[in-house]
Amino acid sequence: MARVLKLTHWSGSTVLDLKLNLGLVNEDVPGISRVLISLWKWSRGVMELERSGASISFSNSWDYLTVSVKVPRESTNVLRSLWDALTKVDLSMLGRAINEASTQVNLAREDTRSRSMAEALRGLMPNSPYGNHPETLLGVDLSGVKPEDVRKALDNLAYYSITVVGGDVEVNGSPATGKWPRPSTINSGEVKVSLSGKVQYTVAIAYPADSIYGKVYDYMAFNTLLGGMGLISRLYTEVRVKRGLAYYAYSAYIPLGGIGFIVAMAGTREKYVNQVKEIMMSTVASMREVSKSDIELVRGNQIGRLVVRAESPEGVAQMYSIIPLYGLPNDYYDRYVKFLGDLRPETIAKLTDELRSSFIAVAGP
Amino acid sequence: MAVFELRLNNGLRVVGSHIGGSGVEAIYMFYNVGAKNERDGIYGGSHLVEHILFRSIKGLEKSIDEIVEGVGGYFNGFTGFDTTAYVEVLPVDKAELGFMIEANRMVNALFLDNEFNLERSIVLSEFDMNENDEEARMSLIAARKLWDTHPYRHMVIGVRRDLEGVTRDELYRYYRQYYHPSNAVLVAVGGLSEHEVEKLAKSYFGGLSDEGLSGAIEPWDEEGAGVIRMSIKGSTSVPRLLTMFKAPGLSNGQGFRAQLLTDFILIGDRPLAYGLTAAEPISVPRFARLYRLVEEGYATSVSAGHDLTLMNGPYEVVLRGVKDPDKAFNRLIEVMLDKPTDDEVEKARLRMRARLGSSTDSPSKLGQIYGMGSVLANDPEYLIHAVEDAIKLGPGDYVRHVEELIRYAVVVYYG
Repeated sequence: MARVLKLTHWSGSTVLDLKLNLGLVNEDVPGISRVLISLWKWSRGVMELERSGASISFSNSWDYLTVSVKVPRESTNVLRSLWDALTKVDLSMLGRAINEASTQVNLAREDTRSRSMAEALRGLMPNSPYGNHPETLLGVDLSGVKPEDVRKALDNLAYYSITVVGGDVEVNGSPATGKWPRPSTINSGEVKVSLSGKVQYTVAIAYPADSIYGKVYDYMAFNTLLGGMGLISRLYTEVRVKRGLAYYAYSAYIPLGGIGFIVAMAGTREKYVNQVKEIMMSTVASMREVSKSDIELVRGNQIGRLVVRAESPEGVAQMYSIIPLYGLPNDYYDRYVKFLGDLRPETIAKLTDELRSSFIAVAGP
Repeated sequence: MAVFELRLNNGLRVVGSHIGGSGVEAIYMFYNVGAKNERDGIYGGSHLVEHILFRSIKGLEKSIDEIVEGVGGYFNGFTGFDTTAYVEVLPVDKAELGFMIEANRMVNALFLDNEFNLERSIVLSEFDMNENDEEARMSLIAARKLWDTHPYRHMVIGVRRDLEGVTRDELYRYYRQYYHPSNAVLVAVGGLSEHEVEKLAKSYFGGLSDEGLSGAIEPWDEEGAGVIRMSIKGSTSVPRLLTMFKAPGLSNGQGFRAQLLTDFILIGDRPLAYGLTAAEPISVPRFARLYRLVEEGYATSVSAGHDLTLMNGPYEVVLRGVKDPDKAFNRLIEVMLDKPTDDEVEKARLRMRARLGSSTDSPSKLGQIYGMGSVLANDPEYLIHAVEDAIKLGPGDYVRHVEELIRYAVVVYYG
C-alpha cells in the first residue's frame, strides 16, 4: 500500500523522504541499488537540483532505498523535477559509478564495525537477502552490473512511500506495494574475520526478532533497556561503565517487512574479546529479570524521545516515514505511548526466551 | 531567529533564542578549553576530563545519563581543538534538568579514583578505535608533521603515553582551572522564553563563584616547511592519499570567509553544525571542483573538510582509490589553483544560502552555532555573518586564498 504523508515543522526547511522499491530484498541484480546511488549523484538532473540549493542523500537498506532531500521552503518547486532526475541517468557514467560504489563497499568491508555486523547477519540468515548488509554487500561484485541492468531497474522504479515535512511537494512516479520475503533459515554459530592493519576488534551478535508487523513495540522496549538507551542501557553499563572494556557497546533493533533483528555490538582489544563476548551474552540473558524501575526508565525514555527526535524536520521525516512505508496506522506513535503506559516487566522479560538463535561475528586484526 | 544575551554577575555569559513552535530545548555549556590549552604530559587531557564529567557529581541524585535518558533526552560531550561543550536536548517541560546538570558539572565533579581509571581505559579504547580507521591514523601522522610545537599537532585525541601516564590530580587541577563561570558560555535554544532562560540561569548559576584561568590564548602558528610527503605501507584494496593543509581559523576573519567560499567551490558543502538527534541530508555535488580528480581517473572518490578552529587548523583532502600518488597530488594542486568561473561561484553562493537555512532549523544545530561563535569570536551569530560575507566574495578572493593555502602541506599515502 503506497501512501503519502505530509507533516508540519516550525522551521523554514522542507524535507522530503522517498522510499523506493530498491532494497536488498527486491533487487533483480545484487548491488544494483548501490551502483544507482552513484549514478544518480553523477546525473545531470540531481546536479541541477543541488545547484538550486537542494541537499540530497541516498541510502540503501534491506527493504527499500531512501532518497532524502532538503530544500529551503520557498524553493520546493524545484522538487517537481525529482522523479525525472531519478529516471533519466547518463549510462556513460556507469563505469565511474561502479568504481565509486566499489570503493565505498570495499571500505565498509575493511571496517571492523560494519564487517562484523554483516558477517553476523550472513551467519544468522544465510539464504536470505536479509542476511546481507547494505553497506558491505558481502559476496557481491559490482563490476558485473551492466547498462541493461540499470535500464531495467529504472523502468521498474516506483515508490513505496512519500513523506513530506514542512511544505507541500508533489512527486511524480508510480506507487508500488512492498513484498517482504521471510527468511527460510535461521542459523546459530560463530565466525572470526581477520582484517589487516587493525588494532581493535568488534564483536557483533545478531538475534532474529519480529518484523514491523509483529510485536514491534515489545521489541522496541526490550532493545531500549538492553542497549538502545545510551549509557544507562545494560550493555553499555556492563561493558563500558562498570568495566571500561570498550568505548562503544550498544544494541539496535531493526524491524523490517519480512523479519526484524537485534544486533549487539562492542569494540575492544584482543585480550578482552572473550570477556566482552561473555558479558554481552550474559547481559542479554539478564533481560529475564526486569524491574518496575527499569520499566519506568524505558517509559520515560521512549515517550520523551518521540518529542526530542522531532526537533528537526529530518527527524520528523525519519520517524514518521515508516507509517506510509509499511502501511501502519496514522496513530502508530500514539499507540506506542499507550503501550508504554501499560508496559509490565514480564512483557520484556519473556522476549528473552524468544532469542533462541544467535550468530556471533568477531572482526579485527 | 532573534538572539538574546545576558551576563551574570559572576561572568557567565548566557546566549539563547526562543523558537515558538519548538517542543524541545537544547542546552549547551561551552568552555573555553580544548587541545589548544594542553601541554606535554597532558595531551588528550581535555577530552579525558570531558569523559570524567559524565561520572560522579556531587549534588546530582542520579547519574547524568539516567537523568537525561530517563526523560528521553539526548546528551553528549564534545572536545575540540579550542572548546569543550556539553549538551542536553530535552523536551521543553524538562529543560530545567539541563540547567541543573550543567551547574553541578561546572563545580562539583568528584574525579573518584576508580572512575578516573575506568574512563582512562575507555579513552584508550577510543584511541584504538581511531587507530582502526586508516584515515584517522593518517590525519594524526600528518598533523604531527604539519606542526612541530603547536598544540593542534596531536589533534584532539592526544598522545597515548600522556593518556596512560596523566594522574587524577593533574586533571582535577586542570578542571578546577578552566571550569568556572567567566570561562564558559551557556546556550539555551528552543521553546523556553528569554525570561524563562534568564530565570533558570540566575537560579542555577547565579550563586557560583568565579575562580580560575581564562582559556583564551593569543592565536599563533609556526612557519611551515613547504610540502612534506610520506608513505605508510598497508594491505588495503583502497589505497588513499591524504593531503593536510592549514586552513584559517575564526581568529582570521578574512581568511576564514575565503575558506568558506573555497569549501563550497571545492566540495560543494560545509555544514556549520551537525544535527544531534537525526542525520541530515548532506549533498556532495559532483559538480564540485574536486570531483574533476575522479572524472580524470586520479581517484575513485574524494572528500574534504575541516573542523571549526580558532587558529590555522587542519584542512584535509582525501583521495581514495589512488593509483599514482605523485600524479594525483600534482593534479590536486592544479585543480585547486584554477580560477573559478562565474558559474562555479554562483553555484557556491546558492549552496551557501541553502546551507544557512539548513544549519539553523533545529535547536541543537542553532545552539552549536551560537556557542562556537560566542567562545571563539565573541559573537553568537559570527558563523551566520561569516557565510553571508563569504557569499559576497569572488573568483579573485578564491585564487588569493588557495595560493596561500597550498604553501604548506603534508601528503600521506596509504597503500
